[in-house]
Amino acid sequence: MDIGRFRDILFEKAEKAGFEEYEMYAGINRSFSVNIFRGEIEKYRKSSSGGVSFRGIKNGRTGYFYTEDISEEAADMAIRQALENAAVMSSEEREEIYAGSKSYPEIKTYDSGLEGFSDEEKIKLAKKLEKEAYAYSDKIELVTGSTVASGEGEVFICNSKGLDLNYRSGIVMAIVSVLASDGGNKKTGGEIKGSLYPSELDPHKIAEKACKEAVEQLGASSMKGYKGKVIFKNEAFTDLIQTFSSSFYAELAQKGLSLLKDKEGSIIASEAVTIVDEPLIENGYASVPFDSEGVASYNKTVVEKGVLKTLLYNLKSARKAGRSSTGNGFKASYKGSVSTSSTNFYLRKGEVSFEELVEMLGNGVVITELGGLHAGANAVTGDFSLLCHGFVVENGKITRPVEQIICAGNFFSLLKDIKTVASDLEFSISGTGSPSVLADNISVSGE
Amino acid sequence: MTDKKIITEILEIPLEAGADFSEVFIEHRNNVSVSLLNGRTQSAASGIDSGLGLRIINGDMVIYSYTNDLSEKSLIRLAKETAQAVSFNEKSHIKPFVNRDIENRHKALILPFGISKTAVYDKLKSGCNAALGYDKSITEVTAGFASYEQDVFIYNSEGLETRDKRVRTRLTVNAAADGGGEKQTGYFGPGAMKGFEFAEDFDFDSLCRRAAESAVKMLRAGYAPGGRFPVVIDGGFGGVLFHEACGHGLEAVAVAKDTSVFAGKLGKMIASPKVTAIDDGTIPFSWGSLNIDDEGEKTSRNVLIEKGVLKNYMTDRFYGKKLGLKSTGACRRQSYMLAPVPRMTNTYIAGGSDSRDDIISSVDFGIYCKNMGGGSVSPATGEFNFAVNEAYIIRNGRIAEPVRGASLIGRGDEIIKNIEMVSPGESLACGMCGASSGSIPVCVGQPMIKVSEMTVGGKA
Repeated sequence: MDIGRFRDILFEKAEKAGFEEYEMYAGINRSFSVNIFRGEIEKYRKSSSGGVSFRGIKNGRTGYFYTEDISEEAADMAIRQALENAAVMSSEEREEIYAGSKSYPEIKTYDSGLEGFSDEEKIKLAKKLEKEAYAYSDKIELVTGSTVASGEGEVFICNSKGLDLNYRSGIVMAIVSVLASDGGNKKTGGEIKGSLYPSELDPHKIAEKACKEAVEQLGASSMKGYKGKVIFKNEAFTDLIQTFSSSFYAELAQKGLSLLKDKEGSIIASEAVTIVDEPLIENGYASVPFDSEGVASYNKTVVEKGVLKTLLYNLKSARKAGRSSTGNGFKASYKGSVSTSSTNFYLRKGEVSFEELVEMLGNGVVITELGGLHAGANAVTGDFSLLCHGFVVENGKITRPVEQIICAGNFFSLLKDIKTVASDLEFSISGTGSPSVLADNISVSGE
Repeated sequence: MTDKKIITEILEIPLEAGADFSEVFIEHRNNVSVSLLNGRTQSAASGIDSGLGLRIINGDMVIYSYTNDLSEKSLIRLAKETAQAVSFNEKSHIKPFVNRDIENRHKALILPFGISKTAVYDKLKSGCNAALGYDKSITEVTAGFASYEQDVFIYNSEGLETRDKRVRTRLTVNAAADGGGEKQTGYFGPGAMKGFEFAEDFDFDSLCRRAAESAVKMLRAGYAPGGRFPVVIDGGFGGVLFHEACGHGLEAVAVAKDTSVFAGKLGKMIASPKVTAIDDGTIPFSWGSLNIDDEGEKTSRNVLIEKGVLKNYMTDRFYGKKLGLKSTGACRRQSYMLAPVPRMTNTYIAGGSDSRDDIISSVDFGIYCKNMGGGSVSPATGEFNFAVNEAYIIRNGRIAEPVRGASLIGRGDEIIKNIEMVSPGESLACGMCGASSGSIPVCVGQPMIKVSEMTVGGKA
């Protein structure tokens, strides 16, 4: 059965079951990935998949159901389960079926060049990536993975208020991970890059980044602990922002699960800090023309020179706050319900270079990698205590690699303790980004 | 159900192209979940997963594809497109199917789509109230319920035809205590290879109060000291240390790729003689159990380490063969969307002979980790990092004041050598484990253990 036919059956049954408003969200994805190990294809993946999510509102309560089985029986089960689910929902969690925004932005999320990039070319690129990594240094003992992956998808939103939207997206990614060794010591490094345009993936640069990361850490040892200034390298601070980004979701603030509750208009960070959420960036990892509720996307400043300008809203949290949605109502896939998500969410870059930032630090540590973020960081409290790698800085110069240190602090205090932001802005594949930052009052414990 | 004739055809296509082995994994899964915040429903969701995964082994290469369009046309196209990646080895044909159905050791009574949502709601609401009533500093309690019924059908080119039904149910509670702009949380998430009957019989209110107690204790605690100390880790979820620090390194993928610190160490002393560790996928009704693994092999009780000596890895057919070992029935995947690899099931350190009292009284100054949080490890280096959800100082052989914000760091291969004491009677706890074949249910476990020295990250 095709999705259009399924929608007609589903909507007819929804009407009969007494749903006042309803919606079908569908996602279709095609993906490919190839992994090279020691010059040979180790893994090869191909898929075409999709599914449908139904939500309906009855007596002010919202009920959900999803299915990958597109059949009449599944449509019956969808209506029955959605009714049962709605019955135990709180009416305060009522969701809105959206009639549509006035206009939708033109934003490129798909390029037809992706179609012309054949599987053979992807295999070649993955092999080249592995070769480049081995060529970097004889200290590269093993390229543990060299992968090229591509994906394209299409999202449809269709509802009882007449909204009928869709958009296509695509990306190609190159991923490499390496193990470096100097005989005794072993260190890992990795890099992921993605783009709408295959030609933008430079295997030499990607391999170099991963290898440099691993080789530079060889011979690392711990250091004496201290409390004071540290530098978080761009990638490390991106991971930290990513971990705590949910604090900026109005939905969580309203539930009391964010310390930024009631802080709009207040100073929450130092003047050096400006954070934006920009879904309309050209070739951005998280660029999107509308969210999963059909609300048009727009660029917004979340923190401006330390002042929290806005949290991120979906339709439900916006209604609770008596304002309009910021277009951040997303679901992870057709399987999920609508919650909140940032898009291209990043700390704006400053003026100084990374080298100047190191000079400003004088003595201390540059943290390049944070481990165990899912366990050692608490998104609600802001507390983190994380195993780190990095470099020791003495008299304004990087002197040696450091490992087995733990940096501990609180994200919300840290925002206020950011002294300087560098100009080396980088994005992770999730769309979150940051330059390197110099921060104070961090506890570093080591030997 | 997909026609056996079509299955035969899509298994045959890759073999025609010269592959060594082909396998079809068909999954149909019904899911329900409900979550309440402070007694009000935040989400009530349900759905159907349905799809087919085709795995082809061609020399050292694993080719995998999947779809949830199960029409004949779509499946034949999938097989043909996927077979293009096969490099010609030797043409062979599939063997006729021999049905190998197994006895279900974990029969569930109440299946997901038969569960009364109101009964779930009542159970969770009662738990929320119990936690909120524990102390006035408890401000947010999230109570969750999830249950699924997964039917899998496995066919391969060697004539295997088998199926399994896995029904799992889990309850979770997260209680947050709030005081002076700070929050601390307490969490538990028990589950079983059972239907809704698991939740019906479970004393959820007590568990919710226990989560609240932990949050309140941590809220009032000072920060943990940093440095190197003896560390005592309690049973149950404390086993996450072994899971992360050693378990992942004993999975045959890392061993076969020589990216594990335990590669090439079979028969060697890798741990303290106090350590015996087991991966057992057969435990009746346990969260991490299966009747058969995701390539159709029976699960087993696999002794990994016996009195400090490495006895075996966790293997499947493909990676086992690379290592010259038999499958231990540990081949797992989250769903039809992922190629399976050897993974853990219920993995634990077995009970020893040191009494709990002797363990605590042997420590002059150290940390007692009553309830561990999650952690992560780099299998190549064995470096790990764990959060401790509920920790106490041990002073002069006695458990003293609670401390918060502690984390444990070290290297897996070193830490298991430093396990100095092990108490009798291990217990298991549930978790979800993520790796290349996705997020799967596992149990971790151990009795109380003492590690002679470990780096503790703290703030004080």
